[in-house]
Amino acid sequence: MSEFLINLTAKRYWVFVIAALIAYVPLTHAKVRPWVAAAMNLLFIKLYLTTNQWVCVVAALLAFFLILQCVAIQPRIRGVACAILVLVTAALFVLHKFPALWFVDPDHKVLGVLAMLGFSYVTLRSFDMLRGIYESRFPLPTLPELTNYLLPFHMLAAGPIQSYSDFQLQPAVPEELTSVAALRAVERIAFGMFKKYVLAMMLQRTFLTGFTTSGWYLLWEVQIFYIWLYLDFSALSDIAIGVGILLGIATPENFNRPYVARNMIDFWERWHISLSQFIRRNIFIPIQVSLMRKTQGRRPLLCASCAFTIAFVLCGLWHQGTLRYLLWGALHASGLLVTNLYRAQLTKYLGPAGVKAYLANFWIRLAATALTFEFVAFSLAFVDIPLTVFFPIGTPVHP
Amino acid sequence: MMNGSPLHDSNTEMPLTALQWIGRVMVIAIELILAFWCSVGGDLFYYQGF
Repeated sequence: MSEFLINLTAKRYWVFVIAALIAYVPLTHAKVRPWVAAAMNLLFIKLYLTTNQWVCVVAALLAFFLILQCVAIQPRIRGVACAILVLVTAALFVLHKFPALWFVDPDHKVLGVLAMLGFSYVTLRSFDMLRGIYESRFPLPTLPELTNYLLPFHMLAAGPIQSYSDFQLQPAVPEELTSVAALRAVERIAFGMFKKYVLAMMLQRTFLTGFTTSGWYLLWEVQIFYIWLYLDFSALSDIAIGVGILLGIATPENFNRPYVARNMIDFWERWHISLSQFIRRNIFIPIQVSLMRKTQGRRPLLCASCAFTIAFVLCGLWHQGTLRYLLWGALHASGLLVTNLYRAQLTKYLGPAGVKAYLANFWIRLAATALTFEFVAFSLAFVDIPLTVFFPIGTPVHP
Repeated sequence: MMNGSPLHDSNTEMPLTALQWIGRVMVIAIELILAFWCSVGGDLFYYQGF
């Protein structure tokens, strides 16, 4: 995530936000706003890159735009143009995410730029947009639209991942911001800052040891790690959403109390919501529909299971191109599979009325929530835990 | 259908009293002061751990 490079407590970040609010919010001309927003987004990136790097980003953006413009001139090449852009974006993404390939860029000139841009998120936004253009669901973007969708400065640090559909649907000139709405937005930002730099930091400093402990403390640390990650990550979304409200840019919600999820399907409807919605519309549903057609609808559970597996293994690799994250994705896929199969069995044996009573039962809900919490906590710890926990090579380290 | 965070709905917003404004602004100020202080190494919670 480029949150490691974009320091949210640095003066320059907040001076920029305030300057952006002063310059951008009063604008009411629908044709001027996108250009000013694009200038704002490119200027923000300039704060974190050298001039040469920034020129390369602008050149890449222009090249992206010009390739899309070829489609306007010759609509028959729509598929080829989108394919080229997908392949180039995917190649850069693979370089960004797979440490085994970093020897290609030993000075990290390209990797540094990709990291600053939060290229994982840029990749998903690109794919969402290109798919919409390929399927002719949306018109070709103008240059400022392309810039503003791919590189929104307030969503660079760690998302959320706005869908291209939502981007196109948002009003060109939003409703005037009332004082109460502005206060709520500032409250959201302040609470996000408090969650990240006070609550999450307190948990980290007090309880987390990087899983270098052993015994019962390790189990405790697994629980705290999940809570810390939720506080830290959701805080970034709160800040982005608050800034988005002040700017008049619709920014999607990303978290909805994931710690109360009763199963893994519910969890992914509450955790990193923008990512799970991307996965659902661009990976899960197309794969499931394709498999249902091939099997003529005779094996719906098998189709869903295959779609879950592929989608979440890719999700794991999207986080990082390592075996451990691939296994993390597979673990979550298995959780989703089990949830789906269990639901099907419940419906088969209890019927609709029985399922309703089952879902309404407090003790069952409590047990399901606890089980889901532990599954998620251990799966998150799995990607962070040193291998020496599983394969001790010396005396365990005590706190 | 838009899934973005609704910017705001002025039709459902309740006006705030002066006291509510003061209270909420104070909470914002406290949260921001604590956040910036902790981020520069201020030790709010000094605890030895287990």
